[in-house]
Amino acid sequence: MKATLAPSSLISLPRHKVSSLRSPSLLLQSQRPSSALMTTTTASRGSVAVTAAATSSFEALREGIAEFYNETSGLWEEIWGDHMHHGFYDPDSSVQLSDSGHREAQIRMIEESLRFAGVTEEEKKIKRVVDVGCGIGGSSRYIASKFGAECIGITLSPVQAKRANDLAAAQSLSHKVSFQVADALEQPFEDGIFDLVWSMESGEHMPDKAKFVKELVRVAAPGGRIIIVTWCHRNLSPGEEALQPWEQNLLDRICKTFYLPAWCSTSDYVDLLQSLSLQDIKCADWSENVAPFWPAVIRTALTWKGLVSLLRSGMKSIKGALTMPLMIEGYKKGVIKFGIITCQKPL
Amino acid sequence: MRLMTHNMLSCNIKGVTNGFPLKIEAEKVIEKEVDFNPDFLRHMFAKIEWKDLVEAARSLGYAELPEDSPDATVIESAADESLLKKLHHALLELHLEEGALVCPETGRKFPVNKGIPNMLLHEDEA
Repeated sequence: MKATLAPSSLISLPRHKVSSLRSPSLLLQSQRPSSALMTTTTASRGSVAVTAAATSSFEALREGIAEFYNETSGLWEEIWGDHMHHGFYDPDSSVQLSDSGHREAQIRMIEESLRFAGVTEEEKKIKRVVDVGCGIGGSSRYIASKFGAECIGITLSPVQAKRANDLAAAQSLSHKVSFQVADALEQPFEDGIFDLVWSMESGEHMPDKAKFVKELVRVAAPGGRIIIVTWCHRNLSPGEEALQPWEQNLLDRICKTFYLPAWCSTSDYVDLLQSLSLQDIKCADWSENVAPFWPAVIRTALTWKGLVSLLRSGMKSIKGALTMPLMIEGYKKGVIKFGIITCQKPL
Repeated sequence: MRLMTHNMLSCNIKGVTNGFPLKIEAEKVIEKEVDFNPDFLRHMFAKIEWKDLVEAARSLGYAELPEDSPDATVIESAADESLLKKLHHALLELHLEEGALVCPETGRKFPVNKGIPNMLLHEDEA
């Protein structure tokens, strides 16, 4: 499956009503009420009311995410290196890759994303980049080096921010990249300052997708590009209001250990960007291009080194590892999609 | 936190219209040497809020930058790099390790620990 599209073409996906954008499914609804992390909002269809209970759940989720990454980042880096995202592979590639093969795939993911967004032709214009949900800064350092641009990354995890800064210093990139603790839903930046807004596999953590996208758009400079690469659920068919119960149940089990709020679909993101008058909106389903990733992660977890590191790392890591087969199941059954959505802010 | 970063950070507490620039309360400032890269500085110059940088540098104890923003042509010309070197030092080599960034409108302090600002808002500020 070719993952590239003609420029300025808008993929027509099965579209559900725009009103579903404002449905609770984009907030915290659809989580099992027994979870302390996710409370069910009672916002009716058509309203964006976020109850007080939901707000404090946002805080709880934020803390959960920070603690999860505080605990697991070191383990991930030890085994997989400084890119905390999927690799991009040729579809149906049956060759089992070496560790370095997977690292290259992770770099390729960055390059393919930039290419998809049409960024590579505009190198000179990229002076400032923001990495939203930056992990330990792999993308930031790579992109800063590639474009000679300044890159600022934000993460909820103080451990990640510190590690990201240390790695930047070790790679003599401190003058170009810096990392802070901040919330993607409340980005601590003025409007319109970034030529490139980068969100690589962080969107799935955002409890309010509309607010998340609004912030990405707000901080993008006129003419700037926004790149969102994220885990989504499949697009709903026309007339379909929600996922099937078994699909929702699968996602709920994943949400709990990975500290994810409710999922949305790729076309939900497209709808949001359209509603904010972004141009050149493009999207693609890269699920086939990331298929080797989770089996590879599981293989590394089952090595002697992996198991020992997991045990040392703690319960969150162990639970996370046990959840990985569910990701594979989700992809195989077409519930989970690996989506890329890109656009440009009008001048 | 270097001043290059500070030059971009602002306070986004709900209702705040004047959240930039953040004032600096410096408790511990260190200097870290960075390779001088004039091309990079020239590349970034247009994006820098000069007056805010001058004031921020003073908060960190460095007062060598001229008050008024230099002309772009002065920065572009290859001849005199002394100004570029001062810019380099202020922007990239001064680090706020411990202290706080203060919202100019509300006075809210965002702590800076081990060189990392924590810009997370509290529940009632979002």
